Amino acid sequence: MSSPVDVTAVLALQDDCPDLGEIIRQYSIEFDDRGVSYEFVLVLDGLGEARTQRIRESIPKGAPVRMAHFNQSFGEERALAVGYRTARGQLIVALPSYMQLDPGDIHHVLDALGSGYDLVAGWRVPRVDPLTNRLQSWIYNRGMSALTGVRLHDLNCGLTGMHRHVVDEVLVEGNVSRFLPVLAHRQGFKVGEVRIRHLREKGRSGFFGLGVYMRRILDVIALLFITRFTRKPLRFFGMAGGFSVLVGATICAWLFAEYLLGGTQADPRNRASLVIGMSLIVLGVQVFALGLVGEIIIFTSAHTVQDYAVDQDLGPALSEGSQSEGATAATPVGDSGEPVVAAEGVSEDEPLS
Amino acid sequence: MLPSEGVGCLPPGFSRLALVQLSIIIPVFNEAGSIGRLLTELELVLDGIPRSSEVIVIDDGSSDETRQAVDRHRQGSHRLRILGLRRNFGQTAAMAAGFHAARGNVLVTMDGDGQNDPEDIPGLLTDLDTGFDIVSGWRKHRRDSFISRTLPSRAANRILAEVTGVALHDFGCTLKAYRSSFISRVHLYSDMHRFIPGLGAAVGARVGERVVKHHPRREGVSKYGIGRTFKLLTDMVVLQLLVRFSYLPLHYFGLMSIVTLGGAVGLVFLAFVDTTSMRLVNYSTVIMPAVAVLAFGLSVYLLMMGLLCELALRTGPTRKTLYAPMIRHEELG
Repeated sequence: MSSPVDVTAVLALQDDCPDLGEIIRQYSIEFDDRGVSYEFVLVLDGLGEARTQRIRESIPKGAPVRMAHFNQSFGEERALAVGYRTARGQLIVALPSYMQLDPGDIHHVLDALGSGYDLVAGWRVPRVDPLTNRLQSWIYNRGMSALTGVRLHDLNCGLTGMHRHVVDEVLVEGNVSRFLPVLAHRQGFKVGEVRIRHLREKGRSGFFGLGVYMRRILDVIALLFITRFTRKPLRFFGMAGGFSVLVGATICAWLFAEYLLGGTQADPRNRASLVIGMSLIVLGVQVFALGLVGEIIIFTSAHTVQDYAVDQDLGPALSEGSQSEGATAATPVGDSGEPVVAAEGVSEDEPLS
Repeated sequence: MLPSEGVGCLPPGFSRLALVQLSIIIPVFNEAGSIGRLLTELELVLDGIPRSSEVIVIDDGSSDETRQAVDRHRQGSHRLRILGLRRNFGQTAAMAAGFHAARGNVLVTMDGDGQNDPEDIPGLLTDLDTGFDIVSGWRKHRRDSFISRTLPSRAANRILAEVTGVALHDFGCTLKAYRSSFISRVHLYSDMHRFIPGLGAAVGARVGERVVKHHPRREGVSKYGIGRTFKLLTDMVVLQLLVRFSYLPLHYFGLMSIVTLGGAVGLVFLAFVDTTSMRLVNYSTVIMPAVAVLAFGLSVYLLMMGLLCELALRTGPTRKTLYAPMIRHEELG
C-alpha cells in the first residue's frame, strides 16, 4: 500500500491564478529542502478552455503536476474533495490558490503530521484582512466550536494537512467536506492546528451576499445532521414532528374547550385557527412518518452501519491449529512491511495516549 | 499513530471462512488492572470446552495500559484477538464492533472488569443447546452498592420486563449468550446492548435466563451511574415498537392510514351535516372541508410511506434473510 509520492499538494482553482507558477515554484523549493517526493494536483472547477490554457502555460516546466477538470463549476468544496481522492501521496496538503500564506510554514504542518497528528488545520495569526472579515470569522469559528465540540480557531483556513487514511475513511461527498477537521475528530482521529503566518488576503471584504450566508448555514445544518442523527433518524424527525403535533393539538384542544365550556365563540367548525391546528398535526405526523422510513433504511443496512472506528486489529500470536497451518499463520509477515508495523504497534514501548 | 488496517479486514493469519463455534466478546475501557486475570481464567475455562473458540477483546479507546496488558496475553494465546477502537465510542458501540468481527455461531458477551465469572459460560452454552436463542445472565446476588446500583436497577428491570413481555430479572447483566443469527442484523446504538433480549423476543427468539456469579470489583472504578435509568426505559419502549414495526411496516402504516381515513370521513360528516338536526347543510365557510381534505391527504401519504418501506425491505440487502433467524429447521430420520 505504499504511495508513489510522499506529499500531494491539492489546489482547487476557481478562476485565473496569477500566483500559480509562484506557488508551485516556492512550495517545490520547500519540499525539496525537506527531501520529500511530491506532486501537485490541480482541480479546475469548470474554467473553460481559454483559462485552462493560461493555467497550463503558467505551470513551471517539469513540475510534477496532475490536473483534473470539471466540465462545469461545482464549487471549491467538491473540487477539493476530488483533489483529495485523486491524490497519490501518503500525506495530503490542501493549499490556498493564491500566495496567502508563508510557504515556509508548510514545514510546521508536515512536522505535526509526522509527530502523531492525523489531521492538522492551519490557524492564521495574526490575520491581515479587514476587521469586518475577522469579526465574522471569529463569530463563525466560535459558533462552530460550540456546536461541534471541536475547538478550532480557523475552520476556513485554506491550508489543511492530513494523512491519506483520514481521507479514505472520513471524506464524504458534498459540501460537508468543508468540515473535514470536525468529521475527522469525530471518527477519533488526532486533530491539531498549527499557527501560520497570514501574508495577504484576496477576495471580498465586508459583508457577503445573503446567498453566501444561507448556503453556509445549510452546510452547517447538514453537518450537524450527519454527525448526530444519521444513525438514528427517528430521534431527529421524531422530535421535530412531535413538536409540531403538540402545537397543533394544543390549538385544536383550545378551540374545542372554548366550545364545550360555552365560550363566546360559535362552533369550532367555523373558526379559521382550526385549519392551522389541523395542518400542524398533519405536518407533524408526516415528519414523524419520514423518520420511520429513515429507520427502515437503517434497519435494512444495519450490518453496514458502524458507530465505531477500528485502528488496530490483531489476531492471536499463536496459530489455531498449531501443526498444519502453523508456518503461514503464526508470523504476520507482509511484503510491504506494513502489517509488521501494525503488529508491533502495541508492544510495551509504544506509548498509547 | 498506528497505521489503520482497513475496517472490516481481518488481521494476518485469519480467514473469514475459518468459522469457529464460539466467540467471546469483551469490551473493555480502562481495565488494565483486571483484564489480565480475567483473560487467564477465561482461557482455562475455554480449554475445557470442546468447541473451537475465539476471544475478541475490544479496547474502547482506553487511556491506561489496557491494550498492552491484553497484547501480552495475545502473545501466548491461540484464540485472542484485539480490536482497538480509535477513541472511546461507548460500550454498545464497542460491543457492536465485537459482533461485527465475531466469526462464531454462538456469541457470549462479558464485562471486562472481572465482575462476571468465566465459569458460568459452560452453563449458558448448555442452555442454548436445550433450545434457547438468547440466554441472559442473572446476577441474583449482586455485589454492588445497594442504593446507587442495585435498587434502581431492580425497578428498571421490572418495568423492562413489563414492556417487553420478557420475564428477565436482570436486563443489565453483560454476561449473555446468543445465537449469532439473532444479532447480525440489529443496529446497536445508544445503550441498546441491554435491550437485545427484548428485541430478540420481539422477532421470535426464545429467551432464557440463568443465575450467574457476580464478583465485587477488584480493581478500577465503575463507569455507570443512576441517571441513565430513565433514558434507558424510554429508549426501550421506542425500540421495542420500532423492531416490530421494522418487520411489517406496511401493516403499521396501513393501520395509521385507515384510522386517519376514518377521521377524514368523520370530518366530512361534520362539514356537511348539522349535528343537532341531522340534516344536510351547506356552510358558507370552507374551513371544515379544508380540514377534511388535510386528513384525506395524510391518510394517502401514510399508505404511500408504508409502501416505500416495503420497497426498501423487499429490495434491500435484507430481502432474503429477514425472517431467517425466526425459523428453526428440523430433520427427522
